[in-house]
Amino acid sequence: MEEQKEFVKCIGQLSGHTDKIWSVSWHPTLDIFATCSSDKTIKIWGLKENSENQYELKQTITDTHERTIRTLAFSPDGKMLACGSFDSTISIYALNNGLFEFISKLEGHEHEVKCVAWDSEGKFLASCSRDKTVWVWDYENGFDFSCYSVIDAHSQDVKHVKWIPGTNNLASTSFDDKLKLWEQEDDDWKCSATYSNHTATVWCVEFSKAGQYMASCGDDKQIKVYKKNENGAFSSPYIVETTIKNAHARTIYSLSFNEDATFLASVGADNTLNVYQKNMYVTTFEGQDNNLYELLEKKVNCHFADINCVAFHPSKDILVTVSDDRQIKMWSLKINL
Amino acid sequence: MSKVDNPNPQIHEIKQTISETQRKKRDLLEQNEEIEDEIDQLEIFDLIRHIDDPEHPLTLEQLNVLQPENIKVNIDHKLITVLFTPTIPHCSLAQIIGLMIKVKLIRSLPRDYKVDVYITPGTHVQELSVNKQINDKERVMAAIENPSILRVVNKGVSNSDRLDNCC
Repeated sequence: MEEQKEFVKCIGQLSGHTDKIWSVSWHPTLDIFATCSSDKTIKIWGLKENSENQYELKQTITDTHERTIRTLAFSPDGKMLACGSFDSTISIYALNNGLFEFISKLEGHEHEVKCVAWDSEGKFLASCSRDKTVWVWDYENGFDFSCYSVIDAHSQDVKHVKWIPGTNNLASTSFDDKLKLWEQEDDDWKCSATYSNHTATVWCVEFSKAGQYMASCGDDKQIKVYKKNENGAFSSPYIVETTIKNAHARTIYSLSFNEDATFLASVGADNTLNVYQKNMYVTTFEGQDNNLYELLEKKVNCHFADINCVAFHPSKDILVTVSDDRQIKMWSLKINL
Repeated sequence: MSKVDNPNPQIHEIKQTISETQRKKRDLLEQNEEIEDEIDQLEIFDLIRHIDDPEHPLTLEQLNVLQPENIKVNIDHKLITVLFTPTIPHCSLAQIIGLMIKVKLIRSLPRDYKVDVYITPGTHVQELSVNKQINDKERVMAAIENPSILRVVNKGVSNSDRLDNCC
């Protein structure tokens, strides 16, 4: 019997959190990643000495939030970490002698903070909340954060916010089932596109590193992959290229592209990790439906509960998943040639 | 409470869900430690039937908000689906009732079980919006971290672990 090929392999499991883990973010250069949890802690995990892909706990940050810590992200220069909490505040940590130290608390949101995101230029931090707004914070003077703009973004909770790579423009998703793009105009952001092609809450929007692809997912169990619109005659900056219906059996919470967009990973409330590979034969023949991404492997029930977040390593083909089962799992990927 | 939504709710007689002999047989089975009994409809019903209504000194079973036949158990997928029926179609407490059912089941069941709670189709004017909120895990987590909401939920579920069959 021919042995079935395994392209996605579990290479490690990390325990330590004592409640649901909501989010994971990789440091841009140091081969460390951070996780946050309803146990109100942030944990930093790093590569073990003399090991290629085994990680261990390096630091635990406690006592900075009173409720669930929902989201976190490292700044593009790797010097700062931002975390958002259901206590409606954002905390900022700075790297000092190998440890992240608390430096600042950003207050202003009226309800739970759901997502934080740094722009790639090192100018802005964006945050979004159940209060329906997206805030843009400016930190041009080093660690001194101030509110730069408040965007009345959606008619319901804003679930996710991301910067469009290489631009000062934003993308946001919401409980109002919409995905919106925002273009900077002077000191403000105006809506440049509204996508209503999801039929339920949109939980996540992600971009490939070079910005050529955008992807979204949510309660309707669909993944949509969009291509950057190079044709100026159309108003939408991104156009839907592929819709993957019933990608998961329950809500899809998170997506991640690897560095060169060869892979797209998705996770959700069906305890499952999907890894898609970019179709190498995307020439579209008439009457032939070629998906931009094809399923490479499905890891069914690879956690014991909802998987809340997935994130690709910034340079290696390694993935991390975090779950309500309080576990972190590491995965290595092989391309299917 | 300043204003009661439904001042005069219909109180329902507690139905015998299964016959006395069946109940006895089932109790014996449940008490036998050697047999691993699967979670079933009636077990789920027992967990939530005595939740107190947030407005009246009555249980969700007495108000016919919950009925065993509106509970589905999918053992293979470890998925529990509960439909509840608000006493009136514009009940403003539907959301908190849904949250109480959800919280009680999450606290009682093994962590790998999933719980979906919906309004019985056609029985509430804001059915879709309530369903959406009580099945959004972020909303649920944030609600139970909110002390004033948690107080109301805890009050409703605090006395719900009674094993008796009747009030």
